[in-house]
Amino acid sequence: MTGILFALIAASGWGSSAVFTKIALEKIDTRLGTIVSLFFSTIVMFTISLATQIDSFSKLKMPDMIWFFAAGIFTFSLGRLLNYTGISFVGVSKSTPLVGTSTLFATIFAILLLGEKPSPLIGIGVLLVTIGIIFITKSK
Amino acid sequence: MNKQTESKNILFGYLASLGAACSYGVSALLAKSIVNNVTEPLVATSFALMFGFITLALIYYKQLVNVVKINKKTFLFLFLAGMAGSTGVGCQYYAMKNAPVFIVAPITGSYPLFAMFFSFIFLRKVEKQNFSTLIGAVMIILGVTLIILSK
Repeated sequence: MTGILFALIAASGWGSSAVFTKIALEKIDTRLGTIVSLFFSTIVMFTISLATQIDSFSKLKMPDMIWFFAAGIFTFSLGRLLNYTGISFVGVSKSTPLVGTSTLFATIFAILLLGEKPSPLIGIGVLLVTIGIIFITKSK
Repeated sequence: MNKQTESKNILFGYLASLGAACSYGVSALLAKSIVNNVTEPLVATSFALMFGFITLALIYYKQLVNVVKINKKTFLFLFLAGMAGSTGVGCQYYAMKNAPVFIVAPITGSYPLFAMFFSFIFLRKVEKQNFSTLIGAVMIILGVTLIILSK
C-alpha cells in the first residue's frame, strides 16, 4: 500500500508540475523559466539529499562528476528546456503524453546501443505508443 | 498570429516534446548506469540538477538580467513546478523500494492523465481538452506500461 501511495504522489507531482509550468511560462521566456526552475530544484534536492544521505557525498570521486555532468545535460539542460518549450507551445494536455514516451526512446537506445533484445510485448507497446502519438498530434 | 505561423509553432511544440522524450530516454540509460555503479539516486539527481542549471545559465546568461522583472506569482509557480517535479522523482524512488515494478510502473506512467486532469481543473480557460487527446494519452500510457513490464 505504501508503494502505491508513493507512486500516486509521484504521478500527481509530475502532473501538477506541468500545470504550474504552463502558468509560470505565460509571462516569461521559456529559457529563463527553465533556469529559475532548475535553480529551485537544485536547492530543494541538495537539501533533501544532504539531510538524508550525507554519507554518500563523502564517497564520491572526481571522475563521478563526468557522469553527473552528462546526466545534467540530457535530463535538465536539454530535457527540461525542451519539455517546457513543448508545454509553452502546444499546452499541457498535448505535450505531457508526448514527453511520456521517453520509455520508448530509452528502449530503442537500449536495443541499439546496449544490444538488448526486443520482445513481442515491446513491439505491441511501440505500436500503441505510435498510435497514441498520431491521435494527439492529429487532434484539434 | 496568422495560420501559417500558428502551424509552425504547433509543429515546433510537438518536436520539442518528442525531443524532450528522446533526451529523457538517453538520461534513463545514464541513470541506470549511475545508480548501479556510482551513487544513490537522490545524490546523483542533486549533482545532475546543479550541472544542468550551471550549463543552461552559462548558455543563456543574457536572459539572467530579466530575473528582476519576474513577478512574485511567476516565481511561486516556478518554485512549485520544481518542487512538484522533485517530489515526483523522490516518491518514484520510494515507491520502487516498497512495491513491485508491475504495480509502480503503470501508476507513475499514468502521470499524463494527472496532468490532463489538473489542466482541466486549473487551465480550463487557456487549454481546450478533447476526446482524441485523451485516447492518445491512454494509448501511450498502455504502450509504455507494456514496454516497462516486458523488461
